Amino acid sequence: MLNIAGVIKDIRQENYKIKSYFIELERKLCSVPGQYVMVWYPGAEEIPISVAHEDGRIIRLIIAKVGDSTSYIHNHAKRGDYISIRGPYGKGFTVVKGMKVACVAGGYGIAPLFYLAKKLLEKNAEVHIFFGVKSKEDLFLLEELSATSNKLFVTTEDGTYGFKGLVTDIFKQYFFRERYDYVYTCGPERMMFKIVSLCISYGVKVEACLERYIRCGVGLCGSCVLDPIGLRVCCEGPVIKGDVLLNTDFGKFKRDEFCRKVSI
Amino acid sequence: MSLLEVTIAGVKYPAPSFLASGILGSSASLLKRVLESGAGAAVTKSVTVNPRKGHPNPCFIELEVGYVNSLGLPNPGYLHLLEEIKRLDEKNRVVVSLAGSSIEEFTKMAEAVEDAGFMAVELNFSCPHVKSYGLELSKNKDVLVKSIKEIKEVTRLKVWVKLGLCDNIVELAKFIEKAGGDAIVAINTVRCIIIDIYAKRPYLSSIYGGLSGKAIHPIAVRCVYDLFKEVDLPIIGVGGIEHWKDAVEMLLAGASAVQVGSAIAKKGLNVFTEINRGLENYLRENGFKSIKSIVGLAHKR
Repeated sequence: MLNIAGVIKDIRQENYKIKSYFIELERKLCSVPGQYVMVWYPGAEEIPISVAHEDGRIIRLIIAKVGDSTSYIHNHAKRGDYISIRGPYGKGFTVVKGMKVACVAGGYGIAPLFYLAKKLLEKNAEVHIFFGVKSKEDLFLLEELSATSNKLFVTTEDGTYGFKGLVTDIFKQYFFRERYDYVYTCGPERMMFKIVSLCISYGVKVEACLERYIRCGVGLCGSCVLDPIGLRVCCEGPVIKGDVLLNTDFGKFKRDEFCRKVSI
Repeated sequence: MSLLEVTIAGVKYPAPSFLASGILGSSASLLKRVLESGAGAAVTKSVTVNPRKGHPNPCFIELEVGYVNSLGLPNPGYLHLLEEIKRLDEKNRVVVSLAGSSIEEFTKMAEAVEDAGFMAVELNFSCPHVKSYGLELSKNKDVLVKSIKEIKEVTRLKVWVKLGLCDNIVELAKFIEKAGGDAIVAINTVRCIIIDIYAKRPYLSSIYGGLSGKAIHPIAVRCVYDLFKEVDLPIIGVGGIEHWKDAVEMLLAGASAVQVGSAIAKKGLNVFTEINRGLENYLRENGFKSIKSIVGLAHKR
């Protein structure tokens, strides 16, 4: 099999529901930011996770406890455990050179943008990160984020930390002031929809990283289809350009495990 | 008439490369995209009477020689899928794959397919990894024969039957022919097991899966070759077709058309046009006037 065997080298508790897993792989993954891997920790279901960093044969996966599989991993995975990885899959972000860019994240959507920001800085881009969460307790990664950006804007919906309000609203204020050349976003889809709509209506290039129900990862099973253009998010995404997205069900519908359309 | 046009059971298709069932076929948008990409026809993912989630992940794995899947027939149920795809423009080029677990289920679903305006069904008697369906059900000749007879009696649908690798594939095909089936589709993925050597347990959640891709191509060619010798029904060859040469091989073995699935992972949806172009050149260069003229040619040595 072409899976890559991995061993958990370190686990870092980021906040009450998020952990970083540092996994040593038997060979280099060679991912780009925005790509994901299918992660199988025996006992749990295999799940798609964005790569949050890659350094040599070590990859970092930021896993939020949101469902059965992620809870199982949180509760059982320990240092030294075996983990199976397949990938990297999908199309990642365009890493632009020397531009002024904004990365807008909601919640654990920060993971691929954190990886991207590092690569953008290497390409001499000016990177502004907007990171929105519900409340102070949902924050994590702040020190590392300020080290990988020129400016970091943190927002909480309840105002317990940073700017009070939705990340989309704060971003909108700076969007007009800062005049970004390129915008990247990852997070809840309705949030991304607002960001993409704003950018496109002002002619600013934008890319969004989508979450869909993924099974095969290679564009065969059709579980992740984005209608009505029939785009396979698993291999033609998960990062998709804004102008493409606005002609689709993005922000409105996705497919469930039965391949039925459901509202987002 | 285009060089590539084929007729299966009286229905014309513009090209002999079709989309295999199980691949991309559970949404109208992807079926449309596949047909626009050059596939002569597209077979839907199999539908069942009730919605199915399929097997939990892991249910897919890449190998050096192909792929193994055990998706477990996930689908929204036949009524739901038909509702979605009945608005497609080229319904004569869409074949609905049915996975029933009884004669009644097959018949009920087939009637709905006809009502939705489609011309053909493919009966799944070959899925190798779901209990009481597919390959397991093909062992029950009564269900196989009576499902076909019943559908032929109550509808005017063309009935394709998809068989999997088994010792009696020729015998089953003869039953299908006698029962009034219109075409044999061979083969499905091949039942297999993958063991994760570090986890020391089967990798797939359902233990058994189906092997597709390059690895099964010669096996599929053998099945088609054997079937062609013994039955008169048109055969649609499936299994590891990645390149136009693989398609030619299948046609020479006796297939009237081919289905492509796994190759899409590597080549994308362009694979259909690529195969069609290669076939067209092959026919021209070798002085053949139609696809039909090379079907089964390998038997006339």
